Amino acid sequence: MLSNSSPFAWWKILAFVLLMYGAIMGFMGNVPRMEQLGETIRNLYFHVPMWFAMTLFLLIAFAYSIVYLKTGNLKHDRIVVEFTRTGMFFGILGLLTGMMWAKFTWGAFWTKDPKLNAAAIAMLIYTAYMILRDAIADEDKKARITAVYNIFAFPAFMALIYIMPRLTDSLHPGNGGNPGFNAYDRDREMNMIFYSSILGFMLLGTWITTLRVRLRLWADKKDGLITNSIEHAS
Amino acid sequence: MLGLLLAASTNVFAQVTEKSIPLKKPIPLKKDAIDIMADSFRADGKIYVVITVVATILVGLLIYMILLDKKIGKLEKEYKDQD
Repeated sequence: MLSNSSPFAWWKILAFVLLMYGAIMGFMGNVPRMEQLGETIRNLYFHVPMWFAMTLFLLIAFAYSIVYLKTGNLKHDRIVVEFTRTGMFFGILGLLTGMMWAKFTWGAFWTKDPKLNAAAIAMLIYTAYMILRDAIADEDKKARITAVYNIFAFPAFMALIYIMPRLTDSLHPGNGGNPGFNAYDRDREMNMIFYSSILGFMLLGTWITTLRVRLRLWADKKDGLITNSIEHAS
Repeated sequence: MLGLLLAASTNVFAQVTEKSIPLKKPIPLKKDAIDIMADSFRADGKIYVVITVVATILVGLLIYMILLDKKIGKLEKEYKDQD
């Protein structure tokens, strides 16, 4: 089995097989015919995975924040930063694609939908994390304080994105008493494409993140911040 | 599948028009509605051009990722050799 740092590791290849399947079948597959949605229902394969992937990356960042507080190893702090960064990147893509979808189905780029505003607030919370990092000079102090911040940020993010919109009125499927997409219009074929697209984007994001982590650890080692071996990085 | 969905749409949805307020949930197209799906677009076969373009971009992205991965691997190795 190829190691994780090999460019041909199995999961890196799997990421592209899944994305390719999602891209081809996403256009060719059969979809139910819906009022107002029309062909835009295919956005399910591309817009929704952004949020699923973002949630996974922020969860990993949250977990590594705890690990960092336990070990005090800067390597774990680097994993937290880079997964948070990738998570935010996917979040921005999710917001942009959602705005386009909203314009053509709900009639406006931005609506008063609680999920939209909650997503925007969640992005600001993590922007504050990035700013907080830049504000502290000492590496260990920075890592410790921001790890604590990250641990508090994740439950807030989950509450904003997944819980709050369900309590109020929302246009999003599965929120505010609306049934989720799967309740009536997602058949087995759509599910296959949907799930492979989600997994594909998750693996692609993980790949991008491990590259950034490896580069960062390489620089840290050069600067003498980290002394232990690089191989354990990814 | 489609037949079931069409059969399921009843008079309840008859008043819903394109210009109405955002739907709280997607509703199957009614039987006599103007078909808004891209069937003709697909029928003339050119949708495959788009799929080819998207697939090409994905292949390019894969190659780029592999080259980047290799480059970082080389950096790591070079630095280790210096020790």
